[in-house]
Amino acid sequence: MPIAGEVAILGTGYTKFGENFDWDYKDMMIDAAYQAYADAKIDPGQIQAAWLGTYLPYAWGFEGVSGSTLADTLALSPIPVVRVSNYCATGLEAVRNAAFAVACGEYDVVMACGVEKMREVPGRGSLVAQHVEKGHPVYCKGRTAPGIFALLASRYLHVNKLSDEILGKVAVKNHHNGSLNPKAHFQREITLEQARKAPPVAEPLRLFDCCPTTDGAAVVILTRKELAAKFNKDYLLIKGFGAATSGGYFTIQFDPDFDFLGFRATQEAAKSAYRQAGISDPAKEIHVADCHDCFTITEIINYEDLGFAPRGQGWRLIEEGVTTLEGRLPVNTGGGLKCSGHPIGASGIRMISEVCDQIRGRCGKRQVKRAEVGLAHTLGGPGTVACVAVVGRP
Amino acid sequence: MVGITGYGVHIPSYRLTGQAVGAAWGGPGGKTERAVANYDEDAVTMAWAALDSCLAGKPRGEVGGIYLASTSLPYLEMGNSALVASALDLARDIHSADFAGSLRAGASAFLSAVNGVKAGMAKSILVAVSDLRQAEPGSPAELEVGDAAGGLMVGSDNVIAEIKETISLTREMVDVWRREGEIYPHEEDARFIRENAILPLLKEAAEKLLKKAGLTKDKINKVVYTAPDARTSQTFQKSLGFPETSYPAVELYQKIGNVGAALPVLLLIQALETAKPGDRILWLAYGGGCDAFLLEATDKIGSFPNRGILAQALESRRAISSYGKFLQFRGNLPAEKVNPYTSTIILNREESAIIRLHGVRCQNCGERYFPPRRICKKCRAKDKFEDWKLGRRGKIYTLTKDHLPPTPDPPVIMASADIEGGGRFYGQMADCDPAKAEIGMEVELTFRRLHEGSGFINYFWKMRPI
Repeated sequence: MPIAGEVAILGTGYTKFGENFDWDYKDMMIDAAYQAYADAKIDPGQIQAAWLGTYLPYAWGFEGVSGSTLADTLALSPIPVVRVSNYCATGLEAVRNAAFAVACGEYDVVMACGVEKMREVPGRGSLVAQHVEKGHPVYCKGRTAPGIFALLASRYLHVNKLSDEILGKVAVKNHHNGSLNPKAHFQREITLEQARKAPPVAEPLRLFDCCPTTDGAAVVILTRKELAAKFNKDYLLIKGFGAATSGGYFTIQFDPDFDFLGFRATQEAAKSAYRQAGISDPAKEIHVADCHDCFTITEIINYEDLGFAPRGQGWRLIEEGVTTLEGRLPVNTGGGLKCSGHPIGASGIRMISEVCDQIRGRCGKRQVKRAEVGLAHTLGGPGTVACVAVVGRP
Repeated sequence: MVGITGYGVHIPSYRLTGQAVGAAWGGPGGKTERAVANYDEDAVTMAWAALDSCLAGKPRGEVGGIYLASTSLPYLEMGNSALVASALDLARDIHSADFAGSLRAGASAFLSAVNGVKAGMAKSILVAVSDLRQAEPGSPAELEVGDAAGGLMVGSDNVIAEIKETISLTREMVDVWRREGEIYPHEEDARFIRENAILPLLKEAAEKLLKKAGLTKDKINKVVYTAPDARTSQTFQKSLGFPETSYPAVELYQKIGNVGAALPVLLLIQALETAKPGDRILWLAYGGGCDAFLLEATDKIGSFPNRGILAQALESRRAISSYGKFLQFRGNLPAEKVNPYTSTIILNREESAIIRLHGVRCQNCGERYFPPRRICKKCRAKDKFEDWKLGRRGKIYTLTKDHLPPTPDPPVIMASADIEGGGRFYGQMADCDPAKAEIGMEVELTFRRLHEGSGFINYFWKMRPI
């Protein structure tokens, strides 16, 4: 049996995102899981298998390397749990694997849990150190996460003859949305002037163009469509789920075919998800989306890769307010990675949770008017892996 | 006929000005300036650059040897010349040797190369002389020394200056010295050295060489000799007793400083730049004795393609923005410690790509790849590749000035460039003014230090504006 139209989302939950200095990796896992149990209306004992999404186990080295950390922490043993890691697409990848397991009939109720404890070390010691001190001895040395996306920002602004003001407008929008989300890392608005005057990070990206270093966990509970109502009548369906790869970690920027204006992994994953969901015009048929805004430029490029705008026109959606909470296609309603934060393994599942909350009409001040079909998208590595999930009412 | 068949130079683009030194320590600072190797340069990278310019347009397959001379080799133990040979992508079956320990090392290496070619050991031999001179911060010597490299090719085809005669003198002398573990050289009484060591030896070498060649001083068109500084060089002229027109300009000392072991070779190149066919050049290289050479320019010198490159390199300069940055470049200030992962096992396995810049070309569909891969992305042919060398010139496709990575010269400019002849290169830019970095900029790949993970020097290629 395929995933699309057959796998149901019973419930979701995620922790407060932020610098959770009082919580360890396992505390966050517990908080998110018990929110999800309650939302799904199930007992922990009903979970038959689980997938743990953690990109890099930062703190203790071995906590989170294997799924057994989740099985033990949530006292779910002896059920099988495996860890998945797929750069920043880790969270959605955990959901995709869990969905396969219920779709094939091997299990009835499964969990996908994404956790990342990034602020056990100084912000500079996490991702910056990963790039400076790890990796191939010589290739890509000097490359950083913002630096990867800044290469696209430079090219995009150059080709489309734009100023960096357009980037700041993405940050302003997502900070506004985050200010309405009590679980977001930041709950404050910023002005365009603040964004444009912020210190440069990887030019043309400035401080407010970058997502923060964040702790968090998120959980989703899945079952098959025919079983769903038995647990929770307010369930949703996965309508389509695509995943794709495009190029190597150390070689993508050496590839003459890469135009630095779009990510093929996103395009392919979206194509696959739309085919499954029977979507032919995503700009009209998707009502609300959470896409991977690790940096402001990424959100603009995602619009084009996801088919929300034609090539070279993604920036217009920002300029014209199409993707604001009041717009035709609201994007990153909970603040996105930019303002909610980006605990890598948790992000994709937090997105699923946000999209489900919008469809179920539970978003309070940031609730959008029409949300029957939602989309979650994550992009990982130097833009070489992506997952796209389409979620909707049964 | 054996002689010089090519030459090349490398002068680092940064200059430390008297003004910057004066601003740091007080005092006027003076009008002179000196060349400063960038933080990612050393005697090996500068030697590579000088020989790369020397080899421009020449077939590398004929090079049968490489000699590297310096008093500041980055490795006291390990074949520095072998590293330069690899970066130049020379054949693997050649002779290589490091010459060190004396400011005359370059002339010694040159003499060995001449003898090697004369003896039939190799058709041609490359000689690189490269020095990165250090002086105590705040000392007068800090502005008098400099960093640079020169390269010479010795062979018997297309000779531009023939070696007519040589002599060598050896004298034990504690004049300038640096002991194991020391960074800064010590100098004995300057006047004593000048008048009792250098000058008498230069005179003796000149006289003996002229006698051997059966020539008189008036038959010499250019005299090239080393001195500690511009003023001393000028004061030697009268005592040496050659025609006034035969003495070189002293601008090298004033523009780049006394570049140590590289000085004699750069002075020789300076003479070659203006030599006319038939000109006799007397070259005296001092240091623990003296190696002396009589050269005669051939009719090929006028049309030599590299003629003028020294003058060009001297003009291509930019002032280092602060004295503090200069100290940071030489590791004189504490800096954020990083220890990038590296492995000699990986570097050895991938030497052909990493150091020699070899990629692959699919024999099935023609697609080119750098770094090399085993299965073609276009046609999926497995292990059906032939060797293909990445070009060295390119154009910036996109870039970013990244303020995050620790570096002595922020920001790190990361760029992806389309390379002439196919393929793309991604990495750091070098010697680039951030204000001038832009899409479309023409660059060339240059060999630099990348990091010092695991305690050894990891070299790689960077993109330098042309």
